[in-house]
Amino acid sequence: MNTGPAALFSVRMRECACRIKREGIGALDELYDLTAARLYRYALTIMRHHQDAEDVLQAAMVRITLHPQGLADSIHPWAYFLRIVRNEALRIAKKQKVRRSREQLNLPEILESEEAATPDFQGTGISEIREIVQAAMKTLSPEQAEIVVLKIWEELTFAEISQILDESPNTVASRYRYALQKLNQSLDPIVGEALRNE
Amino acid sequence: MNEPLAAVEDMIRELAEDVSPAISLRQRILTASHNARVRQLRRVQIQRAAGGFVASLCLMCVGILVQSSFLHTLGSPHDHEQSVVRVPVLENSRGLMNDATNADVSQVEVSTGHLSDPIEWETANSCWRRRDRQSALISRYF
Repeated sequence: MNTGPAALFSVRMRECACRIKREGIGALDELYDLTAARLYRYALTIMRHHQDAEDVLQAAMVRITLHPQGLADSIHPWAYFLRIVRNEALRIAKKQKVRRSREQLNLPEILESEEAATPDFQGTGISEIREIVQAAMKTLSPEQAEIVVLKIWEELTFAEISQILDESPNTVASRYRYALQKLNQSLDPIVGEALRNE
Repeated sequence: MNEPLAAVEDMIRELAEDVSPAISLRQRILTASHNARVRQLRRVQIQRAAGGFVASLCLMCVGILVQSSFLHTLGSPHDHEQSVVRVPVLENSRGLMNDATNADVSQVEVSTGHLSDPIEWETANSCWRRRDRQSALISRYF
């Protein structure tokens, strides 16, 4: 029996889903504590804006409160919840389209991402590497970044991701591969050094 | 997958982005969820209670009442029961309460003696005709 972190999280997620269906809003705090940071990270990947990501998280939690049945009855509650977050993110992004497009033209942000694409790797420690990796993630398109988050950090399969994104597994796998190739270009010096040290 | 890409995958995995929402978000979400749930329950309550297709409207706060349950209040506390008119609520695809705003004012019934004199009726009519405000409230709370 798999008792790794992902499996344990999955079990706890199912328990929370059942509790919120049974006990209603009284069980929401437990669901929040279990999932908020991860959902927020995913929402931030899509929205790229902290306040928007928080709004997405709130909308998704409210939705679960009002309709707990779907979560509890889902074969994979975590994937179901991620899909709700994504749907809410798309809904809010659509509403804020004008503001977001204005922000995407924000010069400092463009410069920041350009700097991230050509970082200086000399004398970097773990915290610096973490920042470089995060900066490299920001060079991905939102579509690529969310697949990387779902695949690597949420440990979902391509089949599960394809259900969340409403895309074919092949498209998801292909997009993931392109994302890794792009990350490899940004992180090549660090990765090369890591491989040489092995 | 080739070696460099697998190494990139490992590196990203090990350095999972550590972000957290604001601490205040927890309470904000719990409150918002609670309020949304209350509104959901009240909506169900309206649909059940309005079986006779009659709701009550408090003209002081332009709040809507069904069977003495206050669904919404605004402004300073006051005795809603002394300023209530009963209104017909028709059912359509947009929901029960929307039609309350479009009801013919001549169909409004007085639920307490407080509104039976002409002056109060004038007040009732003017309040009732403030449909923009009423519609805004209804769309916000229902």
